[in-house]
Amino acid sequence: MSGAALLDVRGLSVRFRSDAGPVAAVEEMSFSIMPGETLALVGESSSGKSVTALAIMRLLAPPPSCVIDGQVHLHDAGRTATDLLSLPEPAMRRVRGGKIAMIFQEPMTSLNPVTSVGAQIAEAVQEHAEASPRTAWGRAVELLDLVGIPDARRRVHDYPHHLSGGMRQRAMIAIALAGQPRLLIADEPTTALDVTIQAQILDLLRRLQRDTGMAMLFITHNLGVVAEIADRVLVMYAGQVVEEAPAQVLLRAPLMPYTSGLIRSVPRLAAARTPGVRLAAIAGNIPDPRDRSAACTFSPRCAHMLPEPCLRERPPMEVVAPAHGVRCARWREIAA
Amino acid sequence: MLRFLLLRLGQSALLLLLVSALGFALLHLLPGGPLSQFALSAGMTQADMDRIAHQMGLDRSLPVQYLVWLRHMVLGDWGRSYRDQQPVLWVITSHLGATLELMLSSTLLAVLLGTWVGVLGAIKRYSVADYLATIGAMIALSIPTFWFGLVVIYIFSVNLAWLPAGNIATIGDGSLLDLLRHLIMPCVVLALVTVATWSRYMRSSMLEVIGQDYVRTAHAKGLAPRHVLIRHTLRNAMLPMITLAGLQVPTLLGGALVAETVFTWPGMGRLFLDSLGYRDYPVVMGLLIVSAVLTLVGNLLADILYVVADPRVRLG
Amino acid sequence: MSAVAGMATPLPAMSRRRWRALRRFARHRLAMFGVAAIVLLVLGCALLPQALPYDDLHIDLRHRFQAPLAGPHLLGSDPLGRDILARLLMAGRISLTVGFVAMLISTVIGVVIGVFSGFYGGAIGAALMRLVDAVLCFPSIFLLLALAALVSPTLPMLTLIIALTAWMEVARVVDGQIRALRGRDFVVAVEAIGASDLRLMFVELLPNAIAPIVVAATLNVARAILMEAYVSWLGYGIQPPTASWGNMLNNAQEYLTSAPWLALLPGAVITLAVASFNFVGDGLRDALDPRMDPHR
Repeated sequence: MSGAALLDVRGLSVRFRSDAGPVAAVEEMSFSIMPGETLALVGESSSGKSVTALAIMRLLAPPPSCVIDGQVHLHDAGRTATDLLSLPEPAMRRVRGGKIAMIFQEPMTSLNPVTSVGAQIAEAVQEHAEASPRTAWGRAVELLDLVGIPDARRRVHDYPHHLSGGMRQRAMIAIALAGQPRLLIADEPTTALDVTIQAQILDLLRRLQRDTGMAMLFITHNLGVVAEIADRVLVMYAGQVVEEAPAQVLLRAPLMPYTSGLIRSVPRLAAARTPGVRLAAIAGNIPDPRDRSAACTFSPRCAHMLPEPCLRERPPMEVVAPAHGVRCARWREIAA
Repeated sequence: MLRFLLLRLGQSALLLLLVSALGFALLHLLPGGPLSQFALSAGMTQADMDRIAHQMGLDRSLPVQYLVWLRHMVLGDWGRSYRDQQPVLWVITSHLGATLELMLSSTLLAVLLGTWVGVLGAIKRYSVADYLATIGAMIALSIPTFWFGLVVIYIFSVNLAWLPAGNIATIGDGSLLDLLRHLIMPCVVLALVTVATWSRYMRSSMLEVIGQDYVRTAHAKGLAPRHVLIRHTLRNAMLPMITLAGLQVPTLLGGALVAETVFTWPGMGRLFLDSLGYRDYPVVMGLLIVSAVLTLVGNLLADILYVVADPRVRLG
Repeated sequence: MSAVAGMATPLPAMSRRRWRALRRFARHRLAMFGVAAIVLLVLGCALLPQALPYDDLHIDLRHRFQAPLAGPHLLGSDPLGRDILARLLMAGRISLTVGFVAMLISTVIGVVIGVFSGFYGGAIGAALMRLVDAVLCFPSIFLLLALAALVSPTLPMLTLIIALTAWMEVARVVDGQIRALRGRDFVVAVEAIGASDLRLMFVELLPNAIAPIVVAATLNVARAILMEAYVSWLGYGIQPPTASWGNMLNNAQEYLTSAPWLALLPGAVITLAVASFNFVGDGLRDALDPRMDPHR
């Protein structure tokens, strides 16, 4: 794609303070999101994907509990790029929920239980636009309708506990849309939902993207969802990006052993019917974030690991093809 | 909602019955027995007592005595004060106002102050101020209320002469300012214990809510911290405090007794002590029952308020 | 966490847990201060009076109303010329004893009622807990005073009635704990081999509910000392000439202008004693609570 990126992340690092000293949750992450595209951020739990999103939104604890380094440039149409990480807080608040909105994983607990959903949407509308309470309420009804909640005019008065999980997630999306965001960060929005509802929410998100032209940073550990919704994919492991490629390329011809391992570990129906075929899992566990030795972080679990070069140093990100990057010292040999 | 209300009323009625049984049992320790409450005066001869005993059915079985007594109480005949022969119920209600004035004003003060301290403690967790507030609360709960009252009187009445040392008003001057000047010290003294308890519970309730997902959502919407604090965090943190408030009534009444004694405040607490001193048992019994009723009413009101405040509890 | 470790086999991991709990308690500075203060108070009240020149009953008419440090009496003297320090220490013996014994009695009552109510549950449990609720409807001071006026004001009687108004909280706590532990595997296992109810209640269940009972009991001492102070100050508790911290404040209000130390000193000591027990109880609660705060 040509043109400037909407969001440009350079060297993002997040360190938490712990009893055993500083722990790096995210190390030197760099990536871009183009306007209108869907970038999937894939990884296991504790890979740092949610922390990345929270860091961009600046929703993490302030120093010294949490220290963020790097730059996150937001390019707004016509204006110069602003580094979100160095914005003063009042300006950042305008971005949050405005230009960049975020939805979370647990719809059951992510809404204020004692206020109506309409009030919560209207609150977001009023924060990001000059609107009277009446106008904001009307907009709330429109948004609920937009996200596919039937009988919006009546349901706008409902409390969260009146809505099912899927409906609550739609309400959360409505809240996110209130500020007309250019980028929607979705942190595992479908993980806690039934598979059928999952499909509906994904459809909804795709439709909204098409209609509003907003970009989406979609965080997930589910490769099936990635296949359905992503344009490009970032694979994260132990706080770093280990592979970056267009979705189809990644899923058909992954270069990083971790990525191939992830793809292989997706259960297949045909394999289930074949006797003797076992579920292929990646051996081992995610490394302890406090223990970051000088070797490749994936090496203890890698089937292709060789002491030289894997244990000698951490591989840098290599550009293999336009739009395809990999962080593996032996990718050439493995691919051959 | 209606069903909940009826259920709670039923529970309260049951408790009231139990309370009355306990009261009746207590009466048995009195000289003259339970029905002496309705006898005319304490200085009666044994023959008088026997006659009245027979009249009132004291020679009947215990359950019957209880029913007779209960009937009197329900009908509003609580006997007459030994001291001045006035109906007990009237004596009590004429002192009720002063106590309510004290209790309500100190609760208001305690809630405001306690909320402020608790919220600050939660926001600035583990700071020096938070640590001091926690220690302060624990010390406040350890100070004998009457001693605190004496200290306060010593400072503000004896030394600084800013405030009057007792009573509800100065004779000849019933102005609002005068009433307020008399109210301040007993109100503050009574509020001490409640502020300490309230601030500690408020702090922990706030901490629990701050960690919830919906507070994170509120921040993600770009709301100002002030708005998140009031509309989202505090709004939810207050809910368990409502229940706490209802549970404070007996403590408040006990504290009121002490405060009224120190500040010679003409309320129910003082009445209780005076009547006890005069062995005016009908009034003493009546006050015990009233205190239990006030507790039950307080709890009931708190429950109703909770249902109003938390939409999850309402039926439908 | 330790709570999970405690589920299947509650006792074997105890010593390791107890050690960790003790370390947490030690880190709790306030609790340590409380322990130190209590030890000093107890030792002081027990041993110091022998070392003093005056005893608590000695009337020294030449030095009446002496302010602290202004004469032969270290902490001053009262209207009858009695030494305040000696009286405070002797009063301490009474008040601390009442506090401690009342706590013991109320804990026993509360535990028994709570164990029975939690173990049997159902109608018995509900009835007992409703009884607790009903008693709690009365302000403790009201009940205490009413009872005190009706019985003879001796030390044992006073201790007993203070205990009678303090067992309810313990009963509730124990009831909750026993109810929660009732269905656990280790209980059902012992039940299955035919253990008697009493054995189940007091040998299997109760030892596992000890932690909150200890916390409640410690806080109860604080409360009992306060209650004794209130009742004695109002004149229905310990009767003069025996001194208790409460009745030393009997006439303090009269002399507030002329001899403020008569009011300030006993009250300060009461506050110190009660606060110390509260600090210790709070520290115990933090130390024994399996839900740990990671930033402590």
